[in-house]
Amino acid sequence: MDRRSYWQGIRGISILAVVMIHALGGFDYSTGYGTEFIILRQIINFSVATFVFMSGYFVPIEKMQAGHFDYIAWILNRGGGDCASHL
Amino acid sequence: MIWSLLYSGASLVSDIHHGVTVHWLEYAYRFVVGKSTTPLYYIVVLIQLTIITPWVVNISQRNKKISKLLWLITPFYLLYIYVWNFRAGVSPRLYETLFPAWFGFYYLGIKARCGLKLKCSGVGILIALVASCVEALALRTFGLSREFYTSQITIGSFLFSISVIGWLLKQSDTNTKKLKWLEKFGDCSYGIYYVHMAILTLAGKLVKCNNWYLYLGARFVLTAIGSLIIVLAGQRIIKSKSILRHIGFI
Repeated sequence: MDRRSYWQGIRGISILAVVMIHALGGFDYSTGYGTEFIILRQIINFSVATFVFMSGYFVPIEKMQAGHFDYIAWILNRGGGDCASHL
Repeated sequence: MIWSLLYSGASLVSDIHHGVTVHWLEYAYRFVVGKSTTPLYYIVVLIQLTIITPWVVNISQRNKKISKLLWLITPFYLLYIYVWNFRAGVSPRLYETLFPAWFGFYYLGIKARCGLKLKCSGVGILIALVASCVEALALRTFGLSREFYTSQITIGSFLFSISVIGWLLKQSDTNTKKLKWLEKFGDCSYGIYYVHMAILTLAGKLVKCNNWYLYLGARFVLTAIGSLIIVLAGQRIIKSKSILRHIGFI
C-alpha cells in the first residue's frame, strides 16, 4: 500500500473519532454511564493529537530549507498543496 | 474564517430568535477565535502553528540547544493547565485556542520527518490507555470538572496519543491492508470537520433516547454519514475548485 493511502486512512479514523467525541455530548450523565463515557473518551482522545502530528509530519522541510521558499504562499495555502506532494 | 462566520451568524440568529441580549463584541470575539463551535479551535491552533513553522524547522535543524528546549513547551503548558484546574476547578478559557497545548505533537511530526524514530507496540498502547483511564477516574474522584478529566489535554491522553502515533509510524512501514472507505473519510476529513457540528445539531433533534449506547450510536452514525454525504454532494454540485478549496471540501 502506498504512503498516501495509509495516511489518508489514518485521517479517516481520526475524523471519525472527532465526530464520536462530539456525538458524546448532550447526554444527561447524571442518569448513569459516567464510567463508560470516561473510558470511551480516553480511547478516542488520540484524534486531535494525531491530526496535529500529521500536520507536522507532512511539512515540506526540504522545500523550506531550499533558498526559494515562499512564506506568504505557505501561509495562504495552509501548507496543503506543498504537504500533499510529499505524501 | 468562512465557517467561523457561518457558525457565528447561526448562533447570532438563534440568540435573537430566543430573545437573548446580543453583545456584538462577544460575537466578534467568537468569530475571530473560532469559538462559535467547538471544533474551530483546532483550525485557529493550526493557523498559529503554520505561521511559526518555518522558524521551528530552521531552529530544529540548526540550533541543538533551542531545539531541545522546544520539547518543553507542551509539558510546561500542561503543568499550567493542571495548576489552573486544581486551583480554579475549571479549565482556563483560552486553553483550547493557544498552540502550546498541541505544539509538542506538531514538533514530534517535524522531528519524525527528520529521522526521529518513534515506535510503540500494541501492548504499549494498552498500558498507556489503562494509565489514561486511571488518571481520568482519579481526577474525577478529586472533584475536578468533567471537561478537564475527559479532555484530550491531560498527561494520560497525551501519553496514549504518543503511543498511538508510535504504533502508526511502526505500521506505516509494513501495513498492506487497504480500506477504501476509510480513505474516503480521510479525503473528505477537512470538509467533515467543518460541517459535522451542524449535522450533529440536526441529529440531536432526531435522536431522543435514555440508553447511552443507542443514543451515541445513532448520533455518531447519522452525523458521520450525513457529513460525508454533504461533502461529497458539495464536490459534485460546486464545480469551482477555488470555492471548494476555500470551504475545505477538497
